[in-house]
Amino acid sequence: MKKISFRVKHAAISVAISIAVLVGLVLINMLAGEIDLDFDMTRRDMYTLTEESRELLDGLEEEVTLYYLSKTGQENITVIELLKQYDSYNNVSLLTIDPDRNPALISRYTEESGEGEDQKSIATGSVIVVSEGRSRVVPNIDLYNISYTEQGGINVYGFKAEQSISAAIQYTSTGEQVVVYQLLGHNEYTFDDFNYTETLEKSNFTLKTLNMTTAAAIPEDADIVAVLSPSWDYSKNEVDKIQEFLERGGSLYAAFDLTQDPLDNLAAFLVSWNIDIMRGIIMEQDTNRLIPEFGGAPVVFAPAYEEEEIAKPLIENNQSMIIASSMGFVETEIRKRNIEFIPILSSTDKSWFRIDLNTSSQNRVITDKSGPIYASVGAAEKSMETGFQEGAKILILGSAQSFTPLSEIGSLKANFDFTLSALGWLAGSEKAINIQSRSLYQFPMQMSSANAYVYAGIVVIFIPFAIILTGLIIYLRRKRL
Amino acid sequence: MIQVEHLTKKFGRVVAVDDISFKIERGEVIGFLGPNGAGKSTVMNILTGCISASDGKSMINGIDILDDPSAVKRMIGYLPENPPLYVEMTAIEFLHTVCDLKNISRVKRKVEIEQVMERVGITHVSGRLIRNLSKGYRQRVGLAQAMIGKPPIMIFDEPTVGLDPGQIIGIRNLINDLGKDHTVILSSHILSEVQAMCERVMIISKGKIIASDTPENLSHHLFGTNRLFISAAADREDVEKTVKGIPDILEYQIEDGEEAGAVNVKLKATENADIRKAVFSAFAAANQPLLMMRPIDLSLEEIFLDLTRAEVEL
Amino acid sequence: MRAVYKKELKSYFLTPGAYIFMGAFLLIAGLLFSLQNIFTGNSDFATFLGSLIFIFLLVVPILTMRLFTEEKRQKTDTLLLSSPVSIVGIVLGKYLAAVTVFLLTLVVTILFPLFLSFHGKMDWAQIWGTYIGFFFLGSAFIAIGTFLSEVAESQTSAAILTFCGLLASWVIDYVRSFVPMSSMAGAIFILILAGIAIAVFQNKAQDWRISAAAAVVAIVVVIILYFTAADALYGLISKFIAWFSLTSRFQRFSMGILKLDAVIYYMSFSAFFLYITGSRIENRRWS
Repeated sequence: MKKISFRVKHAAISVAISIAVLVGLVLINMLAGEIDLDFDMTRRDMYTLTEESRELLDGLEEEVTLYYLSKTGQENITVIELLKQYDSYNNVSLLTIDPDRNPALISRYTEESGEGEDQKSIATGSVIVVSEGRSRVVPNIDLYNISYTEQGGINVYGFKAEQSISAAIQYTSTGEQVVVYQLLGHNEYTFDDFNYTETLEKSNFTLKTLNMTTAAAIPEDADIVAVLSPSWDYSKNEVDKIQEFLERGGSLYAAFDLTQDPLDNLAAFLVSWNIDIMRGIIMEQDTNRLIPEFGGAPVVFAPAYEEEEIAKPLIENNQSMIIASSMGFVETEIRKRNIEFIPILSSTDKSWFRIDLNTSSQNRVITDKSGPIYASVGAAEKSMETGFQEGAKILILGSAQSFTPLSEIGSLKANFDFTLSALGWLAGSEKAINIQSRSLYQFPMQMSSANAYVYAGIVVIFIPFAIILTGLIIYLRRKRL
Repeated sequence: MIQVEHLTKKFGRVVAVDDISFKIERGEVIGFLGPNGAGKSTVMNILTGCISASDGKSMINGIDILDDPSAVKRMIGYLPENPPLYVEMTAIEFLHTVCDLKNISRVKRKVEIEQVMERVGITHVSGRLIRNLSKGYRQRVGLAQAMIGKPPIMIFDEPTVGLDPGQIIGIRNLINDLGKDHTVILSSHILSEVQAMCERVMIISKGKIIASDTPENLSHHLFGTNRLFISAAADREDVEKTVKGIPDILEYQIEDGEEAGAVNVKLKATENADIRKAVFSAFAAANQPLLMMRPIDLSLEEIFLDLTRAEVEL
Repeated sequence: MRAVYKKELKSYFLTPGAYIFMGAFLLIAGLLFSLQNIFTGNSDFATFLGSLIFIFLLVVPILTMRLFTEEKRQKTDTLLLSSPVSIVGIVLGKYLAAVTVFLLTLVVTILFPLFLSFHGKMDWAQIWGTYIGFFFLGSAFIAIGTFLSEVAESQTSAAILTFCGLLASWVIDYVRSFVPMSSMAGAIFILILAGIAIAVFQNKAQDWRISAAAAVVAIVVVIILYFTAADALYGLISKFIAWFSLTSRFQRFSMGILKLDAVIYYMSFSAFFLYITGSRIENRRWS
């Protein structure tokens, strides 16, 4: 017996080692799966939740369930990776659901989402956010920033799933939304006229209207009032209502167009917020800023972004707003010290400001004021002690008509994104989830075709053939040894 | 030095090595003799750790190869039947690689390689690709490979196979030389070679050792003086009569001789009987002149055939 | 291990082996890079690397085909086996040498994003992350190639086997979307797996009573599972296949997520294949 023991020993040891190796490998992998240590290497932290979402999730008191509709094995990894980030919070659970297998669940939320008869199903790839009593469907197209090309093609330029889902989580968990009153009574536009309503509502904005001529005051539930291109001036009384609302800590979003009659009461009101409206039109001369599609007309231009927080999504995605026939703004000579003047959009120093509107010259005339001119400014109350913005905020645009849909290309995506970002800024982060979409836009390359051919030559011809040649020389030289 | 106990190796159902035990002392030069497929190479492969035994023990300097294979392998230089050469390397590159494999320190390496190359006589081809070397030189590079690091034990499997006579003599001399300060095991199915180089021969057949002794002892001990070859000038019938009259004869064989009127006779008597005088007297009495008489000193080949035949009869 | 590693590297660079591999790799990569990045002015290098992984299918066989087959053909394996080098050392040395050649090739490709960086901003962090994934994925493929070169008898058969092996690990992802998802399919799948395990056992142990008992147990368990936990069986085949999918794990790297668990998966995948390579050599010594 003794003499064969080593063989038995060997067999036993090798079997034991084999099992140990397999079990060990599986265990290590399971452990790694548990730890789930990921590093987000993307430039824009595509798969990392922003501070804003983290705060929202940390403060979450209700259980929220995210249903991701997808067939097994066909999940969109980009979406899944982001959803997993939500899933890592205690009160959030993530379930991937095959829509074909769970029609009952889907139809329950189809009805609640109130999409109407014509849209009974929810597209695969959508996310349903459910909490006690409330739910919201985030359709798959709302996970991306999509623009439509003139040919009707789709151009996906950004990933805004975090904005959509965080907003949905905030809504379903608290029911809170940012209430925007669109003031009426002076032939104003509404966001509906811009085709913004639906998308704003998905970002937790509740849009209401208020006729200023009949309203006693701005309602208590208002967070923002929007004044979109009144055709005539507000009365003193009406301006006072807005002033009173701002003193309560509300915010004002206003977009004007150059009207026949001056808007004296409104202008005077703005002066009390350190803002002076200049009647006239910004004329841009910088060819980089002019829009070829509009024949390079100097009244239509892409403004420069002066305020980073609001313009960030636009800067990230390399998007240009287009502003047409805009009035200008300057800071008043006499300033209130507790109000901060915030330039937001401007023209370049090659531009000028046409004050004499009877002049139709496309070139600069003597009465013109030289640029740069602000096409949009903001004002914010700030604490005298800390210097931080606090309380009321105002954002004024010099051209409301720039936001109306154009006949050929519809709403300008960049202009909408600006509006959304501006409203988010006005509402403040506690109220409105305002998370930037992650740009899918790639850095552009400026490479001349000569350069391109040189590089192609190096990588396709030079490198491989240099290596092959080296090998060949070594081979031939050694062959004869 | 080398101790093998009850070594058995089965390839599937085929028993290649069947319960072999032997001992080899330090400094011995041992020859494994046997036909192809007798198990010589298998034993060598087991000794060097290339394959593992199915059963039994193989110990070098008291270390079981299963317990510490590296320590055992360090003590052995091995030239398998097909010299393991990286043919795309030059001889010297190859020997450097072997030094790496055998963990020879960088400092000693250069001298070591030079000495070995000098000894096997490949210095002048050291810069050539092994692929381009002749069979004889390749064999020598293989030998050099085994000798690198001066292992106390060297095992050569069929070291002279396929070489021309001049090369064979060279390698024989080298092995004789190595035998002075190393334990050498070599295998062959060519007898003269084993006879010329080995102090001891183990005859292996069908996986078993059927004889183990010095070449001289093997023939003497087993076949002393009981076999005679005689040539007598007489008729076949007369000779046969004479032979039949001699006591102790077991077998005889009569053939016509090369000379006219002479016959050759091979005689086999009972073991340990010295029949020379009896044969002489008998032929003298019969007036049949003996032209020649000599004992049959069997070559290893015949011993080998004899032994293996006996094996078959068993 | 170092000796084998050095020897293997020498063989790679003294013979045309490494040059053919590097040349083929860099030629294909260069062509694709020109088309995908240079002439379209696209700075997205991570996506380029992601689309490059098909290259392993073509070039890994070149790299690994001779690792063990050549030793067998030249009968040099006896030299390694009779040297004081462990089998682990032999396998690891060879594998690491192949990985080194691959790594060197990869280093050359760093020129590509460097060229792009002269003409635009690059997402370097994402590029490094993708490189890490690319390297480990390639290493896992090389481990498969190493194993198959041990299995095969000749270089040609090793190359073909490796190509097929890699192709299999490739199509697994496509197969995944076609396999039946129903619980019934999952149940049948478990039964098949159990059947194979029992057949292997029966072959070794030759004890039909235990085998029959095991078969009965397996059937009963599956039936119980089917009626009590059908959801667990749903999509089981797909989940099972996903365990073996190398390429699907790479997607996240080219998206810019450096996943530690995927890196560990690739490393254990390699370790597993190297382990079975070693045990095959060891088993051959014993049989």
